Amino acid sequence: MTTFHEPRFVGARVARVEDPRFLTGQGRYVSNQVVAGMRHARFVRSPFAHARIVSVDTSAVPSGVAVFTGEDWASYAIECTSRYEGFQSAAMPVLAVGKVRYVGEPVAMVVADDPYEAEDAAELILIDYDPLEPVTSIEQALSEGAPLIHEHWTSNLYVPRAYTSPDYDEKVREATRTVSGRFVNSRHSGVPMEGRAVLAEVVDGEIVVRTATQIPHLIRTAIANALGISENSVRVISPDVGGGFGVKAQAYPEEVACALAARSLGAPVKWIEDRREHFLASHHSRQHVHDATLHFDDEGRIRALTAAVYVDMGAYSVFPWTSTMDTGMAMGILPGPYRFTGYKVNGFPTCTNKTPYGAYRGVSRPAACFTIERLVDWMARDRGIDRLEARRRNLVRKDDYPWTNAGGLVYDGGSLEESIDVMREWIGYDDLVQRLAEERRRGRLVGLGMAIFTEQSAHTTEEFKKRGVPIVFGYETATLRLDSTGNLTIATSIHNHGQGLETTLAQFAGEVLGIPLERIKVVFGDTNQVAYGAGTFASRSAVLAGGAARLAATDLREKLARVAAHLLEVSEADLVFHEEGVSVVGSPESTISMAELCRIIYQRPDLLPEGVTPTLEATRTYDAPPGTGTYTNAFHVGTVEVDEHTGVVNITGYWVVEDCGVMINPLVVEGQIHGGVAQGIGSALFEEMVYDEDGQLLTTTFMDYLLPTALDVPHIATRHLETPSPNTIGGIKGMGEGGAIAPAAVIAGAVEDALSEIGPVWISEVPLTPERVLRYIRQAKENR
Amino acid sequence: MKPPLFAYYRPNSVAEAVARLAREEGAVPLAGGQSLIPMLNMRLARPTTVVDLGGIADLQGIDVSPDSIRLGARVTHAALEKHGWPHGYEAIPEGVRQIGYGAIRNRGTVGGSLAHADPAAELPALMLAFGASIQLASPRGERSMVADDFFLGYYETARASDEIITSVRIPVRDDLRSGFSELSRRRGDFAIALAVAVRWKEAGRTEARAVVGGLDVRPRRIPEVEEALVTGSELAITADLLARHVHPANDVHASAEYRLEVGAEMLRRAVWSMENREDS
Amino acid sequence: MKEVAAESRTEITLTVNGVAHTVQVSPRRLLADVLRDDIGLKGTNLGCEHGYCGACTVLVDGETVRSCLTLAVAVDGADITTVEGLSGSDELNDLQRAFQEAHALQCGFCTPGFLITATELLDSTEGPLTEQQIREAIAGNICRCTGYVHIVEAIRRVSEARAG
Repeated sequence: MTTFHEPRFVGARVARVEDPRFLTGQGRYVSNQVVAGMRHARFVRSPFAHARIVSVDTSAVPSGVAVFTGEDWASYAIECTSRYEGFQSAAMPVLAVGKVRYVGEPVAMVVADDPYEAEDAAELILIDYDPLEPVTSIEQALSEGAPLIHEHWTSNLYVPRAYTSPDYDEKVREATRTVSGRFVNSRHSGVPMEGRAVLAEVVDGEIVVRTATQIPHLIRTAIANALGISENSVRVISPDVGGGFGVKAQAYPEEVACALAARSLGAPVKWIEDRREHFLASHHSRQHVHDATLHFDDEGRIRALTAAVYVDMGAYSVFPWTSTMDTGMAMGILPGPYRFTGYKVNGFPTCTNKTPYGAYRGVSRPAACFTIERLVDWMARDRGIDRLEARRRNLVRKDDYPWTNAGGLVYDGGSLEESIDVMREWIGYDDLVQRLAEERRRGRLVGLGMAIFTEQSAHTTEEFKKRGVPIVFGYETATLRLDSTGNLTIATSIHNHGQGLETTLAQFAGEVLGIPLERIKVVFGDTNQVAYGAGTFASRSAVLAGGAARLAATDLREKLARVAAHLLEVSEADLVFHEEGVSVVGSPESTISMAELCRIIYQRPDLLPEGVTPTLEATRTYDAPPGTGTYTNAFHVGTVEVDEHTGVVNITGYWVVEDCGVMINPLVVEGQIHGGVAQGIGSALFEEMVYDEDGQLLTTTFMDYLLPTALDVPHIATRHLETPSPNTIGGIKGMGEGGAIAPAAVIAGAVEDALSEIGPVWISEVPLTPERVLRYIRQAKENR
Repeated sequence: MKPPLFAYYRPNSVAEAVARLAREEGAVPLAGGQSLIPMLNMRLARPTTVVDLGGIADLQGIDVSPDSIRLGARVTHAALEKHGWPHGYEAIPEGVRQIGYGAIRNRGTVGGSLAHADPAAELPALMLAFGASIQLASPRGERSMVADDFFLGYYETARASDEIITSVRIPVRDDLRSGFSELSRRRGDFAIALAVAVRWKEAGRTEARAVVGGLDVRPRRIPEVEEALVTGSELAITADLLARHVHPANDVHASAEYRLEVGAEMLRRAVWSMENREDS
Repeated sequence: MKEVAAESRTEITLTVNGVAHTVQVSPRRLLADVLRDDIGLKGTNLGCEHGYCGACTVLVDGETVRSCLTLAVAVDGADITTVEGLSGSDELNDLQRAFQEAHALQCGFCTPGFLITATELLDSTEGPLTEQQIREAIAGNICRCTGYVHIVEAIRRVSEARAG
């Protein structure tokens, strides 16, 4: 007989257990769910960015179609007020009352028997608007005498933010040189392939809202708050979700409207967002303008950073983030992975007549990375040093950890310098740079760009309490239950919508009990089945739900060990947990299967040791103390070729060295990196919500808003470093967002490098559309 | 995004189809549907009746004769792409491959694309460049029209509302050579600018066409370039030259100025491609 | 000849995954909605309803078609394959298995469209496919999760295995 060992599931490149249902068309998306008597909703949306509603005429709508207008639900709203002093708040109405504040804002709702008929009926509602001057830019919003979007405010600024480090003046004085720029990131968004979707019904007095969300419990809170009812009269179910990326991590008026309509009509109400609505009304993100100056010395050592952060937050503060999230994150992370301390930053989260602004993978970090990495590239140019060397000189070093960055974020550990060294050798950096320079001298516009960053992940109480949010996202929860057949169910407050958590949580927690993947079921997305927790966002799920699951698994293991030791008549310390069950060390013949052990605990209380209760369930929360987060780091390098005559950028190579601590499943890690990089390429080259001066959104189809295809994303090569986090169970770190953070900076740097033989340019705006690139080429020729 | 109400009529013959189009003002023909159905889904089109041409056998088939290649109006882009084009006609399959994606080319048709007349579409520019003629049928009978006269403006053609395109004839010419070039934001998107260059021998003379698309309300010929291709003289193809003949619009993808600039580049590339084909 | 008034319905028959279904449809009803709601095969997802995302791609008489850009009434009598019909059994077929093994899907919403597009590609091309061939063939399907790297890898593996 072989000797049993405790198995190691963490680190295994295993295929995902959730895949078969998606591969066979059995995904449980909201749009696929059918309940008896289901009716279909359609929203009438504002065609104006800023207007008074004069009248709403619903008389042409046929009987049999239900209609709701703002006045019907004027007492309900979604409000998210920051705890920051001076925050100007405005509740987001369910349906606009009296006034509209962005194109696409819901104004009326119809409910018909069929989606086609609902759309027919919605066209019959006549709304008379009195247009007001729209506020369509940050400059306009903050200018003297700008129209007020919310009349009771004193300006269009949600709340001003500011921070200056105590040593700022001193550090600026130490610097001998500066580089400055205005760094612009376009308005764009996560744009998951599945739009939003809601199906609400009242079952036995409970409002059941199925909705495609990343944050089921928080949506339940939002709906209960909006309706002024108890949370236990609302059940939110978020089944399979076809991509989230942050867009589905906000409470939306349509979710509340469907709940209200279902309650009012006594019938299930389904609403499937169409793609045009998605562009108009699903929250946007990413639009930052940073005015920034980097102060450094003659050797290219950074001394200080000065920055003003402007974010176009749109018309309303979104639940649960408030409208200060992006500004706050940018202010914290702008210093990047660098060890300078002098820092002065001002933040301006601005209200405009645009779609409200919420989360998108990376929240602010792509814009912050863009700004700091462009500045570091320019510093290298100014000092005539290699860009890689310029970074290496300024990085937080291994022995600095824990390092409090200039913005107050505490970096727990990482491998910044090592990642640069690994990359240098892996891609033959020095030869590659030389080769590209030779190609350029021969007339080809080829170049290389790079960006290095830290990705805050799994931050909890300490971090979110600083951000002034009304709900501090302090922990996640997992309940583990073993049944009498020895199979394990993990019920968790996080959500899985592509991240592979049904597999990775099972790997991570199953290892404690020796229970293999095929005997573990992960349950999520139903507030009646999982304990309270925030949900999936901010690269937190593996760390926090994984940690909670491991703690709960350890609780179960203690009980199992006590019973097994009793039954096998050995000491608990002599037990081994493995795929076959529990054995005595060195005596494989003394084994009790997990099924038998569980069966005895549930069904043979007569055999249990004194004081052991016949339950096999444990619930734990985990907050990854100290709650400041754990930091993944990564170094991205990309090469491009630019078409001199059209400005088209072709990405010819992309490499990532990433350290997300201990990897649970490298296959899943790589998938997350690839997907993030592809989205970052969208930011860098394609994606932009374009508004005209009237506040009309011009990009409302996939013909106008361009997502990268398989011909636009290159092969992405990855290498891993594994520096365990000191802050988390198992040493793991969150990494879901990281891929999306660097590409805009990388590609801008690569294009700038590619044009360098023509003449100097300073690229500071993305996306790099062919036309923008051609403009930079013209500038390069003028600057020659 | 669900279509509005409309009736459906699927005739078996061209005569039935055009009779219905003549009788009912709001009736529109449906070919492959790859432009019409998105417009229906977005409710930008509101026909009273959709007249489905899918049941009319006469509109099918590619027939090659010594003097022309006849494309039935319902020949799909996929069929065009796979057709064994004679040497010199490479611009056609090259251009067709830029239309949408595989699944779009499987359904989209020659007649549908020409009737839709998107100014940035590939087929209108190709047909203009190859001197194709378009056959139309109506209750008044049949007529044929050269592509030069067919495309009138922005989504506007000489097709009367009760007419349908039945076929397209591409003349077979001696010593024909062609080149195609297109710039779009991503593969399959409508062109920011595209260009086709064609040169052939006719009755001992050299003839040429140089066509740009995406730069105006319809594809346009650039006579100075055609002249230079015939005479073999040097000519700088520039944005200024194009600006004499085309007036691009600004949109979310590109400004008019940019379109002119890359339009000139596309035409240079189309000419280069034509001049540098390997002889086979 | 066939004529259906705007507000009335007509009977059509579709053979979907080998099974004949007779359904009543109005002229404006899209094939995607017939497959999903009338026949109950929910695997074909709708991601944009204007032909750009490719999530709703199905095989109609062996060719890839956007089911959101197809009037059901216009394909009366057609033979249709959806994701539910790919393997013909409870087991995953080689392509589905390769998608799982290569981690070629994340949220899964675009996956049926990719599987159908890859099916046409693999069935219509001889010999092992190049990366470029694969990328061109799938460029009409948008995936927002994977960055395509593993999708390309999965299709490449099947293409090589089938070529022997």
